[in-house]
Amino acid sequence: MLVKHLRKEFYELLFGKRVLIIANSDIDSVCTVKIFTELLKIDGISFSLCPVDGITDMKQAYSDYCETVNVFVLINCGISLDIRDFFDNLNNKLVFVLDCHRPVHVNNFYDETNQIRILSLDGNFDEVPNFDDLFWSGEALDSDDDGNDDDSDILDNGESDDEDGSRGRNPKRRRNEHDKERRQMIWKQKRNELLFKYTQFGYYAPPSSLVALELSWAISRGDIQYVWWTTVALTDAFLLEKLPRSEYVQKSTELSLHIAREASSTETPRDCLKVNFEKDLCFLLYRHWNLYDSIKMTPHSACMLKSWGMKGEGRFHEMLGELGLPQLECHQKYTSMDVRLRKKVKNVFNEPVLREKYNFQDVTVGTFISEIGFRPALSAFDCQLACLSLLENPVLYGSGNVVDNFLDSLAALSKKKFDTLDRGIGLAKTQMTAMYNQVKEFLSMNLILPRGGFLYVQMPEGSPNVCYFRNTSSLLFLAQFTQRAAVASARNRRWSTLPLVLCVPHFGGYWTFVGIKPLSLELPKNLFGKLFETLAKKMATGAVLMDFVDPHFVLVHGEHKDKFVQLLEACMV
Amino acid sequence: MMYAAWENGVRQVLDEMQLLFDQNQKDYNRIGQKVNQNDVTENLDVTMNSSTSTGAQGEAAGVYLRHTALERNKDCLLAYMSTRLERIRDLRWIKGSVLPEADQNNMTEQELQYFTDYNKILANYMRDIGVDGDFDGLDLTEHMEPPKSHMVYFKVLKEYGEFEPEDGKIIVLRKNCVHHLPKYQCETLIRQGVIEILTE
Repeated sequence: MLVKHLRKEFYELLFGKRVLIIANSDIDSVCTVKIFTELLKIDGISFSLCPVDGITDMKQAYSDYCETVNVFVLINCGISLDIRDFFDNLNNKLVFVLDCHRPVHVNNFYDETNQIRILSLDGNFDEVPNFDDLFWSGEALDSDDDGNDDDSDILDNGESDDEDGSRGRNPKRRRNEHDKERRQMIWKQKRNELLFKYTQFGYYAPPSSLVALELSWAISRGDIQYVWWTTVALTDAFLLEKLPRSEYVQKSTELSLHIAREASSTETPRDCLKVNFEKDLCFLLYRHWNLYDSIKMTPHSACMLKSWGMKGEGRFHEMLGELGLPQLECHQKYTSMDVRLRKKVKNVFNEPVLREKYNFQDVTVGTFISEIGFRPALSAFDCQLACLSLLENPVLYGSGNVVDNFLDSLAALSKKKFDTLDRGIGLAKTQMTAMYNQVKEFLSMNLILPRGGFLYVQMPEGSPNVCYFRNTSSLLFLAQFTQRAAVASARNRRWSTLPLVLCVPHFGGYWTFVGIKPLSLELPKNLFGKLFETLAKKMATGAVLMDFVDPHFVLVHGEHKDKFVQLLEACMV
Repeated sequence: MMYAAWENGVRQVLDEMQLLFDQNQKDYNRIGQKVNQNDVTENLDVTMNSSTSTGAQGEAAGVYLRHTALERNKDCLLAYMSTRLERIRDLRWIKGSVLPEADQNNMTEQELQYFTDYNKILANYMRDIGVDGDFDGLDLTEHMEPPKSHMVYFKVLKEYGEFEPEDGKIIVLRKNCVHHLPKYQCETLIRQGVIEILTE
């Protein structure tokens, strides 16, 4: 069931109850949880927060709390599962699902008992098949067919032994039943086709934080902080290609309106948060790093320059020279660069010579920049990368525990915990460097191989950087970077039309497979979810685990890996 | 936490004070007599300045010294007693209106009486707050510092299992889970150190 009025049909039902929030481990859900828990804290509603890493974790959290909690809020997980089936014993409980994954499972959408409620802004659920096409309403179809034989049916039901006139009707009744069966079979076939077409592609709706922001506005507790957190989530969706660029721009305009509404009037004190939407360079973390490393390691610019090779690096140096940026300055920390150069940097990358000679273009992107106090400006990209690195912190640099990482990530967003944010930025730099080095390794060792209808990349088992890529968002980022790099350095133009499958070692002898769409495809529709599911059914039990919330990730046991890849190849021709 | 009253020491100090006082009395009288004999009718205050070459100068100094010592002993004793009383008052706020055996044994009878009187005064004061209406008085000893909000946002440090607060609805506390609950339900947990309060 779809919730239409966020305040009346959702928020007001939470008062006086104990709520359990089950949140997936990704940046959008961190931002949504942050906004949502702030609202709950203000209103004094008791809640418990359980960050989860996969489907088994979700089930564990549910079973721990199902006796004591009546209201469940699922954030960024659960919408594609049949919730009634998944959570047993849903007697008098309410489940609210706020999830940006699509498609919605039809049983959740058409839930008759109103216990499972979906929170969404667009209401754009036109793709969901009609109710009548999915659920057999036998009586309706029967009455259409047997319009002529109504009277005889009634008579027949009443008298089973009556032979008067019934002998003449028996063959007719049998023929009607035969017709009904045939109709049912046709209907079932049509239903299966519809469902297959509906669930074939996985994609994403706009981030859930937008819903949380609307909620805060609906209950008149809007704040500029919530808008900032929503921009971080939107930036995450844009960076990980969950949203096409056009939609990013559209949502950014909406958020600018929110900012205009929430920002205080003319005079803001210095310690208030100010958020602006500006055109900024697309180099990730350049304000907190040095310009050279930032340009070299941002996926977009790295692929244009091909800076992983000797030739590419040479061209990069040449380009910097032509722009008038001395290398010594570029290697310095950005904040210590010469002020005149820093002012120049903003405009210098728009020069036409770059586009003509070096094919280096499109380096500015509209983004949100926040300022608070006397700290340097923080762009939404940098904040998102910092939170991501804290969220997916490997065991080396933190406890590696899902909850601690989630809490760290939450803390980095807050206005006052600057040390956590700085730690996150440091970790983000390490992670970016590791990712760049990994892509360089893939390219230099020729590990990106076209196999039939897709590109296949396998990370060698003893790689030192494996620990950074165990979680979904980092893996997705790596896969996308690898794809761009492969397409940029390949001679074969066909590679941009091929999807990519990346395979990375996981714990316990398992390997994580992730599949992403081809680069040339604009809309982020991913067919690997359904594909992996069908392949999993063909393999032995326990060989393939679909434990991730995102359907295009899957765990395959080492022994069955080769067979899995062969089956994949056979399917994708 | 009360330590046993140092009764021996106090008695010794009092004895010493008595000794000093007696000596002083004797010397004071003797000086008085000497001065009388020499017919000095001015004030007989026994200071070094006013005593003349009658030989009373040295004795006057002695009296003055003993007097200072007496004053110092008095100050020390008073400080000791007042510190003990302060501790007794603190005990009321930390441990409540019934003291454990160990502390009671370490207090003298007068101190126990002081404690009971203090209890009475505090109870009367708390009862008097907001007397009109249904409000039955306020328990000021509930929080050690003024509470900022009536909810607590915390993370569970140790695996606790099921926890039943006053209103009866069970909460499951697994390790590393984060909760936001009313303060009155979590008092015991906070005291036991099972949870870590998160500041955000």
